[in-house]
Amino acid sequence: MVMDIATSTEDTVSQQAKENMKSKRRKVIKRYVTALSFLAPALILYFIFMLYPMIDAVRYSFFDWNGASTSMNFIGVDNYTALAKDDIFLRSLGHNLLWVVLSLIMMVIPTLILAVLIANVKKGRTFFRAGFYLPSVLSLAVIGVLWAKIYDPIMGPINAFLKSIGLESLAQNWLGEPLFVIPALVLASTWAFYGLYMILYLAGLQNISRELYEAADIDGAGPISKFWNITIPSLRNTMNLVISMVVIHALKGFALIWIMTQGGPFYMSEVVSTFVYKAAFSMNKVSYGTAASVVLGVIIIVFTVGFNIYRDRSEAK
Amino acid sequence: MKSFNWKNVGVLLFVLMLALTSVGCQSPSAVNEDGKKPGKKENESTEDVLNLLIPNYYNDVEKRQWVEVVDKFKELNEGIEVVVETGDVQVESGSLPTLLQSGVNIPDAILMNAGPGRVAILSEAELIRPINDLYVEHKWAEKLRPYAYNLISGEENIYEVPHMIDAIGFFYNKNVFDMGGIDKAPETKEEFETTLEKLKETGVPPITVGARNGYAVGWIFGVMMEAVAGKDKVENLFYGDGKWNDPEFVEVGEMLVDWVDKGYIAKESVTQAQPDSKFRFLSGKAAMEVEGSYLITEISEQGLEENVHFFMMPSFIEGKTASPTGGIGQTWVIPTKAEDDELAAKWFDFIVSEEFSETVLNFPDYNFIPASQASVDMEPAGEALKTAMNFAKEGTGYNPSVFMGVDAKEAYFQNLQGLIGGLITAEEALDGIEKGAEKDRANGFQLKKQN
Repeated sequence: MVMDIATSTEDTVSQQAKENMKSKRRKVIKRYVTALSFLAPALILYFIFMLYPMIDAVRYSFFDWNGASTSMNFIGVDNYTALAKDDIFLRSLGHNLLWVVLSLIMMVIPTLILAVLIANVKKGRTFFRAGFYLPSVLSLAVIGVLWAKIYDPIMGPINAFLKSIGLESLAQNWLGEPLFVIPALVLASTWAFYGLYMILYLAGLQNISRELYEAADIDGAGPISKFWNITIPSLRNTMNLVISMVVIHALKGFALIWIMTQGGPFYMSEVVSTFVYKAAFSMNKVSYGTAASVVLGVIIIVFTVGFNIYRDRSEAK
Repeated sequence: MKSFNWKNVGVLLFVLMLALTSVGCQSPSAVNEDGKKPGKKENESTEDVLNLLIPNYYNDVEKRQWVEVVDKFKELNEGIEVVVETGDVQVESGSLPTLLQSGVNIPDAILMNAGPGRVAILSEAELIRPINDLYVEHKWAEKLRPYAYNLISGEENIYEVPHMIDAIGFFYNKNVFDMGGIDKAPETKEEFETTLEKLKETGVPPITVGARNGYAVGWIFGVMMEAVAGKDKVENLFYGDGKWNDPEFVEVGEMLVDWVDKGYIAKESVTQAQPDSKFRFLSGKAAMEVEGSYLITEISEQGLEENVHFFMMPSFIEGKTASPTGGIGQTWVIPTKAEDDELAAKWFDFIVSEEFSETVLNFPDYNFIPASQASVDMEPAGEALKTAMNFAKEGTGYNPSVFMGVDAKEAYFQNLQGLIGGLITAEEALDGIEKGAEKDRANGFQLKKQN
């Protein structure tokens, strides 16, 4: 009898425990369902418009397809093998890396200095902000045409100016010489985007406490010391963002190059994006072009993830 | 007071958005020549409306010519309404394949940029239909110039009806020639070389090239190949076992480099766009430019008929005559999803007819050589076209860009830019082009034509 009572008590306890477990599980599921129901619209849209095209691009890269044909031949990694042997593609990648380096040099610090100068202007700050931001609102097509005219070897203002001051020997065909074509394009690209980065820096500068500068003044710090020891460390996050954006823009840049040089002359300004466009549309090798764009995408992702890990680690120190 | 109902506003906005989306997603609407959208008349059957898609007009002259051509067709085919829509008909830009794949607003016939590579992309994807049956039924083979028919009938299936033949050669500015004391277009190799030298002495650049656009630098090189190596040699390159790095073609490359070195072509041309080059030529800032007969309407629009004339670079081969280069410039195709083949066939009948050739060749500013046999002995009203047609009587030479595979074409454009910019030697350039051609051959690219 005693045994029976003990057994029945145990049963009741285990049943209760089971029910508790069930109830907990139900609550967890309910919580997940609730969370999912809120996330679902965004997730579905993200999948349809972002993930699916990317997955599809990767899928195409394993086929031989001309973009119009109803059938595709599976060729495995042949497109990637061909890319590894394609001189023009490798040269394009090299040009992209050069573009990144030049963009970083011409964008990150110069725009920061510009932002600091504008932030310190007492009168007409809005005028300068708007004025320097203006190129960012122009379409890249307009900027491309404009800079192509500026670089025009015969009628362009740069060569006209050099000739007028007796420096004719320095006048160049800026978009026609191997040494100058990429720097010239990067300069035009810098002009198009520096307003955007300047605004980011200005926003960052507004978040730096004035007290830090006042304390530095009391300690007798000069402007360069303040810039180096207060401004730059305080803008670390903004600089990281700017560096990421500059690199991504530099790797993805297409419109300006296409309008100004179309990758020429003789592949001198060919970058991966123009290579992809030509492969896909001029040469009807859509899958080959897709493989090239996947390689570029992987490079961008690796850089962005790597840079974020480096940033997190350096901040943790 | 009734409170503001946001729910109603939301519903209203949603309906508005749907309406705007449905309007925005419509295909571009067709317009008649008078700019009005064609309304379907009462009791009018759909079979009576012929929908055509043609390339965008370069200028108003071309637009006016098309109106007259359509009027002539309507006069000959009473009861058929013609809707002409203009747009991007390039295969390279992806526009045409996309339109045809969409199945929306598919025209009955399309006038597209010709070339075996371009047409093959559409035919392989079954976006255009073979028209062998229509060729037999309507006897078009006999109504086309043999040269034009042979170019499009090498394969088992025929997909196109040639509209016109390209004639690419030198246009020259008579005023600049006068400045250099040159009283006529050169007819021999020696005269041509003297002309270049005399023009250089005037201070006006003898030749302008819009080399930034690959097709434009391709035009001049094609003309030079025809003149220096000869038509047979070039033909063997595309239809036989010829190689781009053949010494004769390398010689053509060296000549191009030499022209740049001597200042006949400005080195800066490497970054000059074709429209800029054309502007430079038409405004008298360069003596010559290699262009197709399509330049004629622009010459007319700017009132330069008296001052700008056409000639073909003389053959450098003893006893030979060089023809303008080209091939089929524009060609008609029927989309697989087109609603009415018979209407398209009626239009094609008209295109190869005497009436069409008479109509267009009577325009003093018409810019194309019709592909029909009927046009062979006709005399065009315009002087420049008359010269081009005389040169092209026995057919034209080859504009390489039209006859190349995709890899060779890209290599051709880039390497020629390299030559003009002084970035590579002629041998390197021609080797580069041959490498592209080898890739094409490995991918199965091989042209065929009837002899």
